Amino acid sequence: MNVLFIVLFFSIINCNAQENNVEDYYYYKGKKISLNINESKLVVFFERNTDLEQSIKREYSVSRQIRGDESLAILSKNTQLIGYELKVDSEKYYDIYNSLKANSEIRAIEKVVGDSLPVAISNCFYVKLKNDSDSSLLIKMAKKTKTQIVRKVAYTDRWYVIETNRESISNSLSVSNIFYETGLFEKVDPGFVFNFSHSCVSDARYSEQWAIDNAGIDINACNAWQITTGNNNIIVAVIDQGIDNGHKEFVGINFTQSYDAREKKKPANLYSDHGTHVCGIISSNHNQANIAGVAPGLSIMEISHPMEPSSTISEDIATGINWAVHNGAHILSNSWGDQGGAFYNNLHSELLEDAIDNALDNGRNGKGIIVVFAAGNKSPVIDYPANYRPEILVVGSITSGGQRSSFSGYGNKLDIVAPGSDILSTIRSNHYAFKSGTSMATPHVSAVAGLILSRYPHLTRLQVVNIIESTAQKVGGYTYQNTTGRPNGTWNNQMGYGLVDAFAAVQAACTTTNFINRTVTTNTSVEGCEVNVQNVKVQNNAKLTIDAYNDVNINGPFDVQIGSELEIK
Amino acid sequence: MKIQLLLFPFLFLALSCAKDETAENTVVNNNLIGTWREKNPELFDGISDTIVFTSELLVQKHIIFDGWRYSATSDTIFFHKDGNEIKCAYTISNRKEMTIYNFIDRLITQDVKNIQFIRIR
Repeated sequence: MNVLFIVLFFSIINCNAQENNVEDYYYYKGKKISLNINESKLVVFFERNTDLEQSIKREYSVSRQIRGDESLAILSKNTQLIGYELKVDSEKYYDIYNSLKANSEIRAIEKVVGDSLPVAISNCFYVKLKNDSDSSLLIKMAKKTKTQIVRKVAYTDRWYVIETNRESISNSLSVSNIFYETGLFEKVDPGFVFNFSHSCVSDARYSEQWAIDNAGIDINACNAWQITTGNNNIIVAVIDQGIDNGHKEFVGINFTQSYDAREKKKPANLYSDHGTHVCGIISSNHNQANIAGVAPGLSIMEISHPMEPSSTISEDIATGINWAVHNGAHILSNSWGDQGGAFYNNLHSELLEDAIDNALDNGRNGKGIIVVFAAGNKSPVIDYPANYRPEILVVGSITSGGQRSSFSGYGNKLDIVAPGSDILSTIRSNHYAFKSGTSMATPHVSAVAGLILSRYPHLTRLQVVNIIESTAQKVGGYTYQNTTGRPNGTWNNQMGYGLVDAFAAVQAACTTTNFINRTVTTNTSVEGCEVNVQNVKVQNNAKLTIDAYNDVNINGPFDVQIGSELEIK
Repeated sequence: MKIQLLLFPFLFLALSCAKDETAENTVVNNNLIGTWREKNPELFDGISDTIVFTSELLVQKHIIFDGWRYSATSDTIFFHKDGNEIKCAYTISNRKEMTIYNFIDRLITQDVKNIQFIRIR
């Protein structure tokens, strides 16, 4: 047996030295199976730690979370192990791998298999002993590989869970192969993190909604929905041809008061299918009928108009916008424009522009309404009024392959892209249809803006736009570059900042305000989405007001002396 | 003599290209020429538009392109007026049905309008 371990030890050293460049594989029923490692993704496991989480989110785009195993004795009772699947630059894959490995706070770093349907590899793997008496072999191997035996798998005879960590001689996959290649064990199962749930909602035609879940080229909505599907205090005004709000996909959706911009009175009218299709992208309920909307928890304000040229078209639309602003809309979703502009020789309407100015600058009691417009379908032209002011969020369309849709307008006014080709959504009378256009891309972004505000409604228009732009996914193989006048990351003239990322945006919406090691002697107010308070004294008859929209975490010493006051809102 | 022999094949090629292009345009324009009526108006603005392509390369009767000039390749129609050019992909099947892709109608909604027409004349 000693000879065996000497041989094994040399093979371990050899393996460790070449970790970055060896072929990746695993064993299944005695057969060696090659693995296609996805070099644009990595998984890191760490004990939950706010500072580390924020630092990782700042540096990398997190595509999903993986719940870690929490039973290890070395973890303190209150610690949670968490895994983040990160998107990384494939050209720097091994540099990033090694850089993350050097971070002493990261417990394990593992690879991801497959490009079209990525599957992460866990920091845990499974070993089956040949005989009950072989447990000593397992202990010796765990020592040699610097891994830990976590537990025996319940209701099995000889299966054990082994965990790798930063002290281990290699990553989980390599170590599991070492275990197998010793020949000492009956079976070794690498811990693939299968997505057995298939989909995050049960709507029957969910699989046809590539925009929501397409293994990479999607808006990452499933993960965002773990945080929020929208708050009905947040109102999206859909300025369109009216909505069939009796559609079965809208059961339970909150439609606020509505308005018809042509007749200049309540309620809205229904002129065609277009507005219903747009609204279905935002609001289709989850787990009830056929499809899932991006943010069904949001409230919808219906502003209808036939969307045909009329003698008072500018007045009509301006009135609709002003009515929405006056009645508390947070977001204006505009899937309309001047159809290429060339027909109108770049004409403007100051009446219409005044209404847009009012929304952008004065809406939401001065915080500003998020005004989202379709880029237009007469590529390369960006339509009017989308192109009127840079503060308007201009949305282009992409295909399920991550390429700019051939019709989608682009150029220096383009801000962001979203799915707009072959989008399944609702139309009148409980029917469904696939439609294409920047009309369809726009509500995806409007809905994400609503999710952001649902997480933290105190954000200004500019903050919401900055979050959407800075968290976008750089898809499609385009060259995104630092560009003058584009402060929120790299940009491309066909893709803007990239594909909107609902999960990353919702995460970025709520940052933590730390109030640590402070002695409060005068009235003080601390505000934030989440507030961490640690080691704080309130004295001298002072009042400390903590105004957190979500959680207040109080850790460690906290002392409010007699006569002083603490208020948590 | 040697130079003449070399030039001859190039000349032949050039003539072939020009001939092909002309022939193609002639055929395609013949296919387009006529009066077309929108087939499924209920899918768009509800009004059945008419569009006429004349042998003089003029567009008539259409709500937007009436009075514009046009030219076409086998898969694209170019509409021209006052220095503006709008191009749209199109297909014709059985000389009777035509689809103009990402076309335009009365609506200012930003969905793609792939509008089908049937030949009525």
